[in-house]
Amino acid sequence: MDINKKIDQILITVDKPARYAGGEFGLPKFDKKNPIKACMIFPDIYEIGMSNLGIRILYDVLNKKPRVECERCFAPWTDMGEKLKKENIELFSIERRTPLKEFDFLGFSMQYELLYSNLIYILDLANIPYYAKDRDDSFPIIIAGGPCTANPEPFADFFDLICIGEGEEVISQIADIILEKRGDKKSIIEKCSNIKGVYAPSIHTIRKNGEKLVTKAVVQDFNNISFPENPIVPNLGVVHDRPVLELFRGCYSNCRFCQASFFYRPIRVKSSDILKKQAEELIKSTGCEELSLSSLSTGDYPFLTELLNDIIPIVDKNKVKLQLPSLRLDSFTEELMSNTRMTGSLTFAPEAGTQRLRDVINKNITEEDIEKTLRLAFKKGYRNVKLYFMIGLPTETDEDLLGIVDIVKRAKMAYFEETNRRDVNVSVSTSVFVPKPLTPFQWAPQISREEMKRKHIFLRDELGKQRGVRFSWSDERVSYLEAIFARGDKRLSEVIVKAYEEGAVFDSWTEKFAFYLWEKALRDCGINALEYTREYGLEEILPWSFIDFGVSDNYLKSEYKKAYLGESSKGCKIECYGCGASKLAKCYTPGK
Amino acid sequence: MITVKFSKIGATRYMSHLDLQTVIIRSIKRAGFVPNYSQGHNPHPILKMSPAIPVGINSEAEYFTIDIDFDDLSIFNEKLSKNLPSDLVCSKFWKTTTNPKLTKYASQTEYKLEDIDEDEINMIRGAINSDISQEMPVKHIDSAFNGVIKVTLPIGNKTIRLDRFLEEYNRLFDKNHVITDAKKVSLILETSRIINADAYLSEIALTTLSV
Repeated sequence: MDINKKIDQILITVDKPARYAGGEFGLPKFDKKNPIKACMIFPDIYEIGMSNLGIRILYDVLNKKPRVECERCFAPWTDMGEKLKKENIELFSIERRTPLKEFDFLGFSMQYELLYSNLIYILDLANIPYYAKDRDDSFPIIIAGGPCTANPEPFADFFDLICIGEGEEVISQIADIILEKRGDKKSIIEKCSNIKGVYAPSIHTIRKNGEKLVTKAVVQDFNNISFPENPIVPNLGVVHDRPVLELFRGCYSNCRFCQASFFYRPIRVKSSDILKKQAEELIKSTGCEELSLSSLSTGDYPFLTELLNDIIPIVDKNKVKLQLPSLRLDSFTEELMSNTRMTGSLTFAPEAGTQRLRDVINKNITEEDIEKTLRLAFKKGYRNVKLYFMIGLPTETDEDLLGIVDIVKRAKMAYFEETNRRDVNVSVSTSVFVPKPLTPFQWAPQISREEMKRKHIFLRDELGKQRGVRFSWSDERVSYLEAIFARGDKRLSEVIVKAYEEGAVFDSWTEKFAFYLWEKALRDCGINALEYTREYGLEEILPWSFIDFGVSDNYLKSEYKKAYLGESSKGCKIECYGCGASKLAKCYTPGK
Repeated sequence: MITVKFSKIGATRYMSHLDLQTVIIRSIKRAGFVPNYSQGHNPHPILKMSPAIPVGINSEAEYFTIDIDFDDLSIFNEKLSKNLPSDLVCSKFWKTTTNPKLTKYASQTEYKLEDIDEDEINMIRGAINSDISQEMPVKHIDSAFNGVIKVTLPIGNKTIRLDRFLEEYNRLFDKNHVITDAKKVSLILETSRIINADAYLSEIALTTLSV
């Protein structure tokens, strides 16, 4: 039977077949002469992958090149994966059902540590050998990108090339080289290894002295980078079903636990004129009902007032709702609140229950900020508030956990004082602190799983004494694995493969997460997880020490020391501490 | 109001009914048209659809009605067709003053099974002319001729879905047809009489356009 017919018949036997069917509005024309073919892959299902801005940007950059055609592929859900295996159909792209094996290059977006098993799942379904060293010239060049490249070592051996940092310009350069040297893998890898931002594990041998071999890629002219003004509009509902405007990269806060703020430095800001134009283009080309203004901290965008003044008439005219995610408690103003159409609940992240601990982690939010903002929200009619905290932060004691309860109590009191009612819904959500590379806390330990459990129970009992409060906490075994892989080294590749072969897949999904498989894989590979969750000495060479992120080790060390002394640092808008990121590109700090 | 007949084939055959509505509304907005919105807390464009069909079936007879103050069907077609996913193809347009209520009057669906071999065609013709002609599934088979089997299934009080019909068919005739082998070709209404949706719409419309 014709393979397409076979696939069509399989599609009616699986969940949400539209995930694999393609045919969306906004697809490129694919009529280029003798192009090289690329496939961008997000290792989770369509609904998650299509919500990711990174893939959208890279897809657009590549398809705009005259001799490149780029398609997409997402992890088939387990029902589809089983059918593909059973029918011996190799995993294919969405647009033209091209087997992944037949592309010139594949790009994987490595977004999250618990998606590593899905990488192997996809390679398995595509009949592609997992390790780069086992693939000859007949296989595509396989490239990794995304935030997990902050420490690529656990998955480095699976890839030919790794784009560390911002991929949009690097991927274009790589494509040019592949076009030039088609088929000659060795030569391609060698030439690409010289591109700024590219780590080629087969060429860059990591030295034990922590010598810098690769520099993170940073887009210089953020205002004029390629922008997907005609994105694909999905045929089924996806998690973030709206076009996204990127306001700026980097973050003005200096939260010591936040990898994103350090990974995306230095700060580059888009002008509000360009954003206004892009907003108009996106609304016109998608017809979507919502538009997202995205960044790490949207309230801190330097031209927010002008931008909102420009955009609000446009969105109102087109009946589009503005979404402003990532609003901080200290920059959330009355103006912003009236512009964010009430979506039912507000979410804020105080992260720690006491000022002392907030100073340690440098989350510069005061009791006043929290109370003022909540009161504002309550006065405006919000009845549902979600508060995010982390537990297991460095120097945390039970006092700090009780501080969370205090904040909740004060929130309820504030609600009563503002509305004279007691029907507020406060949701507290916690996750366990994971020390991340490239943050001042990259040397900090993660608490033991026993401690995690104890703290959860403690909080649950204390919050349980409050009426109208919901408490949800993330699975501590997930955070434990995150910590292992976040600071892991090359020895973990074997663990990933072993865990997958025993059945681990879609680990980021609660219903699929099978922790015992990972425990077994770690054991079978002779790995003691404590090696990765312990405290590191400041002079130790870390697996990612060979990457130059701009931010200096001395800066990170001084922030780390300040943390343990309980001293906070101010945000970049107020004071520049010379972190070093500005050597990679001009850092936009207003008023300087 | 503009009612549009369209085909839901290829990739779009796998879309759910709800997702189809979202896609249609977004396509209309991309085309630059402003539909009329409902009143109340959550205003949305007023879009009516013909009855939902199971995911996976190819159809040449789907309809939507959009509440919109726009007259020129030719321009509507020109702009809309540039803004739809390529596997949603519009074939007819009608301008009416009221909602045709296709779902309310929907009575039967006609399907075609194509590329059927000669032996099967003969077997079916035999069944139609035999004692079992008034039993399920045979009573829903209209004809078998030239490689095509035509089937009419009721909607409404006693809806018979295509996959149920094919189950019985496969059992009786020892075949392996799946819903992707079939194509929905017409929607039949029962107003004061039995009438094809197209004919009904052309009767009540102010203007009609076929493309």
